[in-house]
Amino acid sequence: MIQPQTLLNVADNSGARKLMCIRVIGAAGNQRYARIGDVIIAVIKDAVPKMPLERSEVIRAVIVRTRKEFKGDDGIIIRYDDNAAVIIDQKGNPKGTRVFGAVAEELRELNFTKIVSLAPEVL
Amino acid sequence: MLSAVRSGSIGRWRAPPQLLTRLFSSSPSSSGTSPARPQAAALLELSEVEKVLRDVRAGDVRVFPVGEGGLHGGACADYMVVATGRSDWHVRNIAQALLYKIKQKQKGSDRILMPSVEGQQAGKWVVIDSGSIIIHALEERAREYYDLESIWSKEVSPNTSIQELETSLVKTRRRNLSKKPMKSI
Repeated sequence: MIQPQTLLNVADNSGARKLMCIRVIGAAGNQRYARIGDVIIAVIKDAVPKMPLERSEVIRAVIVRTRKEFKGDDGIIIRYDDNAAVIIDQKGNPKGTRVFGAVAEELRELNFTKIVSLAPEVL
Repeated sequence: MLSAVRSGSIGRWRAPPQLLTRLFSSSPSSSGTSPARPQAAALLELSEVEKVLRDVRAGDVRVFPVGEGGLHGGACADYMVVATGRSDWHVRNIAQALLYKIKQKQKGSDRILMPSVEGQQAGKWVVIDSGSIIIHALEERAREYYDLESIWSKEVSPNTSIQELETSLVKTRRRNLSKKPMKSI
């Protein structure tokens, strides 16, 4: 359940540390919250010094982990300990070159195979 | 079997149910994976992929077996194929050639299964996800940037993790800095 003003961790080595969601893509009418595999617009709240990304930059990110439990097609329910996102560009290429932590296999079906193949662990 | 029902009804290109095999680890894993295999194998085979990539002159083709017990615990796919294209246009052509091959292969059948393609518009990094084989076509600079080889080539062996664990468990005594003699002025 990610909505504007939610703070998220960054699960890649792009150089940002904290993001704040400012818009959920496709949020209109019924759908108000972003879940795993949704794209959000976010602002970088905290960044590692001397990296290309800086504080207060507006970027796109795809959510890979949520505290809200997530139910897959197979009935397995996954709940993570943090809200985390991976920074992508307009065309869906990840900004960083490595993804940290476990990601859900459902991302592959949502056409984020690139992120899944960079991740060290797939659930 | 449960997995057979699932693979038939839901995911055509979904990898074998890794979590289930992990839960029922006493039963042989081949029985769990076998229903998904023939479908995926029908889409493309490794030798065909290599032939197509050679025909379109994709550079530096490398195959990484990431199957059972490999990276991702076999959840993702069996093989990762990486190829380099000289330009965006070339990368897109590599993807097109593979898709054409898949289409040609299933010409006679009543319905054609196509893999999911990602990044076709951008052209820097195109991924064709055909179930058991995932093909990455990257532009030269993108390949250098992402350095996919180093993820899949290094083994996730238990030895290294144990070593890391040992080093992290060894206690080092903190130096007491508070009682350091003051430098004479």
